Amino acid sequence: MARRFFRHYNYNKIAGTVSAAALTILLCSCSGADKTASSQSFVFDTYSQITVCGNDSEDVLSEVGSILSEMSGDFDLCYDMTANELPQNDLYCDCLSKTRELNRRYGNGINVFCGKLTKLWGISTDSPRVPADEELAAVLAELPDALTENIPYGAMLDFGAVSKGYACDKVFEVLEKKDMDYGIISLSSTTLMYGKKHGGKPFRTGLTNPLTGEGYAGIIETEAAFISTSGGYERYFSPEGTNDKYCHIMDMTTGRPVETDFASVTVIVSADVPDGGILSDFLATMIFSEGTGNIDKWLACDDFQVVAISADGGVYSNCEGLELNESGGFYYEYK
Amino acid sequence: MNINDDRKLIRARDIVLIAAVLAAAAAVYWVTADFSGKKRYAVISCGGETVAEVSLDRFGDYSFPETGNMVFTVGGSGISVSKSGCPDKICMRTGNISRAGEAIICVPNRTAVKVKNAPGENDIDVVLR
Repeated sequence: MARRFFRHYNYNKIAGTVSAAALTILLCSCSGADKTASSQSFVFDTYSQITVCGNDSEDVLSEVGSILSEMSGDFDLCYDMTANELPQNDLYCDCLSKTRELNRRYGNGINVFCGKLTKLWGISTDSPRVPADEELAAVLAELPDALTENIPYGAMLDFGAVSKGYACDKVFEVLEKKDMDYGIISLSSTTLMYGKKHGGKPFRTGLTNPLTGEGYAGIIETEAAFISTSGGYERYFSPEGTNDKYCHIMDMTTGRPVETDFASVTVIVSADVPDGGILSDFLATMIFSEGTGNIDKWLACDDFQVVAISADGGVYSNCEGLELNESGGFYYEYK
Repeated sequence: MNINDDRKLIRARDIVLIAAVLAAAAAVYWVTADFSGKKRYAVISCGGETVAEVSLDRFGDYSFPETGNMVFTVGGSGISVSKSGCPDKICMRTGNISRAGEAIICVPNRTAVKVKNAPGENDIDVVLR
């Protein structure tokens, strides 16, 4: 039977057919590959990872990289306004006005004029310390109002609560202009998930377990979005010989690090929302500072989603694409 | 229709043969390709101690104090040793490895590179911290 089947075969023709089929397979397996470009660097005082996919991804990657490193320099921890350097920088003024807009909408818990306070404590520096009450009182007395239009001479700006989110907004504009397929821009605590992954799978973000600082508390599945986390577990200062922990987020009323019963707060804003990056960054810090007492108000909002983990391991969330992990023997429960 | 007509460009049995070749190719692809969507990473160790874990989607060159002048390169086809001061260069000749379980061993440098699937959270795009 087999002999009869192959009897009339011209073997050159078989060879031709086989090579054509092999070539097809080869071409299929190559298409779609190599449009992805990735890099990592230290910007905004943190480790950043950038992945972009689309045409000319290498060029877009380097453009995004230079925007981030330039902005990281401009938005360095504190910006001293005493040296006759009232903001000449457009990005600066833009970020300032957007932050004021958020202050008007959501409250004054974030104040970018708190640079002197940040400097006094030096929590993220090599020489943090607990300032004396008189020092705090002096700085608080001069603290400009968050909504003030005229930046007082001698004020120091600290964009720490919004700069990464704002930077993600700027990167979003570039990715959109270049019509990229998708991009993942991670600045550790703030991430931009842009576009659509190939195959239509959602983006998956691992949420660090804030109680241990390692492993995942859960995984958040989203479409394109900005996601920011605020927590006291990564940057804090513990004076020698004490059990006190001072986190890097300041309470503008006391001038001291916030005392919150949250371990971390994550805010997810759809990428369809204009300036969603700065919004997610701002809100994560704001909600974290306020503690569980005020969480219901935020969970009722439907223009962003919240995953808040309290110090006792409770999870407060209105997030639909959330999977909770058993992590380090600890299991999170919805509240 | 006369299928035995040799003047025809494609005969029925040609189609059978093409289908068979495609099926065989698909079978080979199925066996070799990684459909798991799992994130993989390379564990670089020296003298049995882990020196670093490098995600295979973070392209670039890596070197570490513990592994001296060795340079590890992560690219589209996995991780390879692109530079090594060892005499025999077996590690460099191993080429790229990318599938879980594959390894590059450099005996003179007491260094091993092993590819692993990320445990549990295979398909995470990014970690927030």
